[in-house]
Amino acid sequence: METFFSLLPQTLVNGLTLGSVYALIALGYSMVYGILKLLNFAHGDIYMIGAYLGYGVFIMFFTEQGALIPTALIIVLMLVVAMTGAGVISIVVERFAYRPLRYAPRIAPLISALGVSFILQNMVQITVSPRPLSYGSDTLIPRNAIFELGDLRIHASRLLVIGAAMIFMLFLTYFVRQTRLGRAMRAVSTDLDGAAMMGVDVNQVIVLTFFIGAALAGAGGVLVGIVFFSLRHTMGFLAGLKGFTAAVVGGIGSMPGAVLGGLLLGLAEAFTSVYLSATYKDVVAFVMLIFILLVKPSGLMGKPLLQKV
Amino acid sequence: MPSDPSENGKTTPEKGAGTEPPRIGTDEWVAQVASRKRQTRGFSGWLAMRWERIPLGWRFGMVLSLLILIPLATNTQAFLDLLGISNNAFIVRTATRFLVFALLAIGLNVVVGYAGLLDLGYVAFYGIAGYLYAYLSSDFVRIGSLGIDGLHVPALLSIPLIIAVTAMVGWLIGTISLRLSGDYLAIVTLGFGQVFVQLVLTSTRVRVPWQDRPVNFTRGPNGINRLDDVTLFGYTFESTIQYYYLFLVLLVLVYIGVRHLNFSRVGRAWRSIREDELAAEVMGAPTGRLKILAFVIGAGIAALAGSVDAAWQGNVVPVPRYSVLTLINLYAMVVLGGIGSLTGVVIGAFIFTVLPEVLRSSAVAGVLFYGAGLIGLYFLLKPFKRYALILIGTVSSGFLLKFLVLTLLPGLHTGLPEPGSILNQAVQSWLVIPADYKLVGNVVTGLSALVLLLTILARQRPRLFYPLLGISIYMLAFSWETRLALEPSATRILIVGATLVVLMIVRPHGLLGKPEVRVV
Repeated sequence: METFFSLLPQTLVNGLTLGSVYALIALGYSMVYGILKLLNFAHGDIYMIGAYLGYGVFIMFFTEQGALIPTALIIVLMLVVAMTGAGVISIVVERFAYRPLRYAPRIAPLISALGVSFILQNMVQITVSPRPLSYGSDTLIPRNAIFELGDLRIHASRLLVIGAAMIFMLFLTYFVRQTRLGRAMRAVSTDLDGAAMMGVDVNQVIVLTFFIGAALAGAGGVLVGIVFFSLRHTMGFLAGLKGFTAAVVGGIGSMPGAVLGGLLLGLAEAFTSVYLSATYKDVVAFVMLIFILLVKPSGLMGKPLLQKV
Repeated sequence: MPSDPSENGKTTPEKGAGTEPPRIGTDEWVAQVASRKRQTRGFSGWLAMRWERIPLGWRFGMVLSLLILIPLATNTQAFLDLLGISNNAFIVRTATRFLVFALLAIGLNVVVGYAGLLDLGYVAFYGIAGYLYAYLSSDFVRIGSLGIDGLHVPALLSIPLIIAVTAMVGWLIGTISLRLSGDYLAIVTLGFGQVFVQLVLTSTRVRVPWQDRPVNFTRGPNGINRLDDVTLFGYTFESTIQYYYLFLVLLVLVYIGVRHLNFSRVGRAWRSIREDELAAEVMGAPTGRLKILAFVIGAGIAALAGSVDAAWQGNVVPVPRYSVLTLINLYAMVVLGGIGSLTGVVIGAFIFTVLPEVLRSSAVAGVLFYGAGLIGLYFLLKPFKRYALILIGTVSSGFLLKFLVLTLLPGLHTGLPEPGSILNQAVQSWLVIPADYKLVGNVVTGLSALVLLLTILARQRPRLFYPLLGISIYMLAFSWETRLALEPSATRILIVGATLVVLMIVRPHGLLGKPEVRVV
């Protein structure tokens, strides 16, 4: 019991770090699903692209002599480039792989998304490198940048991840709730045809949704690189799966649900690896998913499906 | 520039059936007739009509005898000389893999195509059957206290047992997930598949009450090897060719069985659920039981394929054989062939097992790449005159560019150190290849994708479209020669991915699937 409590705060921090990244990925899944009812399986690879773009900025400004500009500025630049790049690629993907299939049977865009996922992964493998890239653990944020709160020792990079994810989510909430385009997004996700008849430019809203979702995933990719130091062209697959799981646990289509699902999944994994065994963390994540869905078939915060006849 | 007839209407819908929004004011009968008419148009339509006139039994027999002949015909000296290989073991192996995947895809088609349940945990049934076979027919199970030193159950007993147990698991999963629908069913079954793989990977040191030491249940990622071969009525299947014919027999039996099932009462009820579950329920179809039945039959077929497959391979390994990658492959086969079409699914399995193997050799991949490009361009630029003009224009401006470079900047062109086959040399004689071709190739590969997409966007504007098309042909050829052909392992997946996207856009209902007629 003693060790249980002494490990608790540390585990919470780890879980929140992981959870915020999952939440960032899950938001993109959920937003796209809410509007198009499309499971965007290429979303995990967009996250991977974000991580690589961030790394590209990092090696541009971080030569062997040390940083050319202040570290904080580098991180901001990494985030900006990764988010914009991921967003643009996602728009291109939407335009060429999903838009032609908007009226097709539901499974066709799913397969097309798998194809896009293959293309993105192997493009990165051919043009960048098939080997994993590494940040080097000490370069960006020094290893001794640790905040101590009693027994709790939090590394600055974890605070950065949690903080950045919070800021993005607050901004997203503001955007969706308060702005004109946000209102258009909510309208389209409630009823696409109805919104189109009311004069909402549906294509514009869809493009915007893809951009925002991908930008969040790209930011998640950069943040993961900062905390865990390494990236691979295949990293998007499992991350995408986890983000998808988080989105469904929270109730797919609901944005607060995606965040809740992401945090829950991250916490569950952190607690399993500390108190049970790190090998079982994926098992526990998916068992949790199955149980939550069996108790609440439309996710924690999803609206139950109503069928009109 | 020839004037493009599609130029006048800015809002012309894009090509491909999937782009058509539901037609308003057309009644269902008219829409169906129209779509049937569209199917008989053109060369492929003529071919399809010819094919359909042959009686069913003849068609079936023709395909079957072709399949029977594959291992024999590819073993003749003439054929081997044609390909320049010493034996046909690789071909028979690929053909056997095709049969295994065809069986699995037929089983998946029952669940996804007939009953319309998005089951993403299907591959777990395949894995469960494989592991059950491994337990029942190898030296792996050793219980000292009972004096058991490896179980070797005869296949005639073990395979039906495995099918029964796996079908029970299917029944259980079906019953549990009955209250979920659509995408939630998909994710729960996906979770189930993941749990299976993770459990297999991690159950290597499990503490059990009846033993002191932790027990290794699965040997983790190494899997279990040295499994017994299948012995039926005293005949042991050993070589791949023998398994090929075993799988062929199984495939024919399952194909006929599923085909009859599809035309039966149950099959009709499944389709009614797929089209409209509520309506089916109101009409009195026991939807719950039917859905579970689909799960059970799908699991049973997967178990049949999985257990014989484990015997053929001689081992079971969890990753990648039973992982999501296999599932993705299976879905691609089913959807590409046409959801719900039995023949289509088998064709899909054929394409997806043969295409990656063919692309393994970069010489063949090059022929396919340029060949598919030329044929695709022909359909894109149909009358032949225009097509020839564009090609001649592109080729001659490529040579002009090379001539200019050679006279003005003589140091720029160095060529590749290893030019490759004759085709590669021919293409390279047209390209300007600088010394640091790898770096330039990387940039051009990224840019050519961009230019290609821009070209597609500009297809309504001939003045922009034809020059862009020429540029993107040149850039694609360049990136193929400098990067893609040199990394076949990544390139073949790239091509498979591109094929998936393009095929889905051109035929969203798959090769042989029936186009959905939607009427508002």
